[in-house]
Amino acid sequence: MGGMKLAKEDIFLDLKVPDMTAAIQAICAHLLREEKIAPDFEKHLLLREEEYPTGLKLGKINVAIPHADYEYSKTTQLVVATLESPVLWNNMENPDEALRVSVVVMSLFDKPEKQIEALKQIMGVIQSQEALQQIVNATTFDQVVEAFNKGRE
Amino acid sequence: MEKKTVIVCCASSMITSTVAVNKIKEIAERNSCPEPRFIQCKFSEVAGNLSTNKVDFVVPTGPLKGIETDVPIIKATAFVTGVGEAAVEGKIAEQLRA
Repeated sequence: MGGMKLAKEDIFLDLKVPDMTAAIQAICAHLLREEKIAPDFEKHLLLREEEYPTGLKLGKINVAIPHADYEYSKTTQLVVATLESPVLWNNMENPDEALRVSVVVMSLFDKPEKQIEALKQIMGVIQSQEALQQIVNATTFDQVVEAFNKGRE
Repeated sequence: MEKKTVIVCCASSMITSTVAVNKIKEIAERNSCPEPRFIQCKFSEVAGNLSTNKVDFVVPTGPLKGIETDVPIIKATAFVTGVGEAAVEGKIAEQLRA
């Protein structure tokens, strides 16, 4: 089975943040400490969100899939955060609409050809409200990993 | 049936547009239409590609701003979310068969 690495050390459960910018900053600060991203990653990602937001309207549970170009990343993997309270995130399909997002799935890739693999794996999970509910309810990192593996089947 | 030319576009990193290209290939096959010629680009390059190619329709994965054209535009964020996918597939099949 292929798919991208979902590292346990990069799963956040019930991240407490006031808004989408704070969510991105908290995740990026962690990834920068781990030296998995370039210092410019966060700035680039926030600018990109401003112009092309990545909130996805999926149903009861909405997800955001922020990502930056491969030049700013030093590895290839997924980063998942569940939020203690949903934050407003603009809709990719209609940027004037703000969605309540409760799960953030960030993809890092250091080679452009890996991007499609990342998105396919994310799609398997986000298109299943059942898998998303399992992720939102997760109290351990293993439960999140398990939900991702299930979504991929 | 003539071979169509389609612009498939997304924000910048070519991720969601690649998903859309794969979906359109599947739709063409299912409907026994010839696979269209794809021009895959960023939103910012659509206007240029429209002016230099004879394009049958445009499939952006998000909103396409500031584009004035008579060419049909079929928004396909549904290919990422899975929500409302059948309706988008129907519209694309219609354009491929036209």
